[in-house]
Amino acid sequence: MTAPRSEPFWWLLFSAGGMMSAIFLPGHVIFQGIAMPLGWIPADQSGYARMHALVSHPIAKLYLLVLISLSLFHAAHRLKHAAADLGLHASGFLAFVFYGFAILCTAVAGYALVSI
Amino acid sequence: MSAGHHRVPDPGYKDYVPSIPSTWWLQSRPYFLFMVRELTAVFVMIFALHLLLGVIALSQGEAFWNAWVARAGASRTLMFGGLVTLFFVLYHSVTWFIAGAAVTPLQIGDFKVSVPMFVLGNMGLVVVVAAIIGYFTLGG
Repeated sequence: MTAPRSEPFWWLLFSAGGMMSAIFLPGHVIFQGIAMPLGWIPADQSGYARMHALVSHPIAKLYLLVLISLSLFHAAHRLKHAAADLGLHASGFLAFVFYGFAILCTAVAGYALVSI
Repeated sequence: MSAGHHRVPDPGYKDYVPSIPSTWWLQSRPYFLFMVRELTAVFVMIFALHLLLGVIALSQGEAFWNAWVARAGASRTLMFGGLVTLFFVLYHSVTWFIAGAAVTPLQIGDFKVSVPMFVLGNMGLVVVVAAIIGYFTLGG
């Protein structure tokens, strides 16, 4: 079993996403994953008007697109290889499903961020 | 392998592929911890999708945003789920920096940065970044 020729490209996205998620995701889990949904953050700060204004900034949009996209490419690559390690045949179909999902989500994130 | 690219002649037999039980990673502690590290990607993916849904909600208007916040907050298992996600995301961070220390050993002058020091330094960065995220989330 030989790695496909595109492997370095996917590995680069995996590596960039691994670094990005290792540094930035814990803080977002604390604030957007735990504090905000549990109502620990006052409504005037977590409310639509303020969050919309915050994410409207081009740098915030670019940051969120890169963070979400690279995190998903990181996870896609790692889970593809984990699936192969668990005995699933590392076929082109597996790569199509995992990378395709990350590409689709990147497009959706880009579209949503542009329309904010 | 694409034969056309590598130009390997057909040897006339199939490669021997040893069969490995799919539970191989339960057979030793290092194997198990390796698989835990790989499966942190499940939580990275789930949380990235959570953020993506938030961005979509924000682009759809106030009602969608309030629904996104309320839906996550309504879950009785949210506290548990958030803490589990935090555990695995932090597990990813630590193991990522351990691997990073092996891939790019850091040396400043004659001083070699040890692996624990490399990991602690980077986790310090994670804490600083979390504080910045908190600063923006709470409105500065």
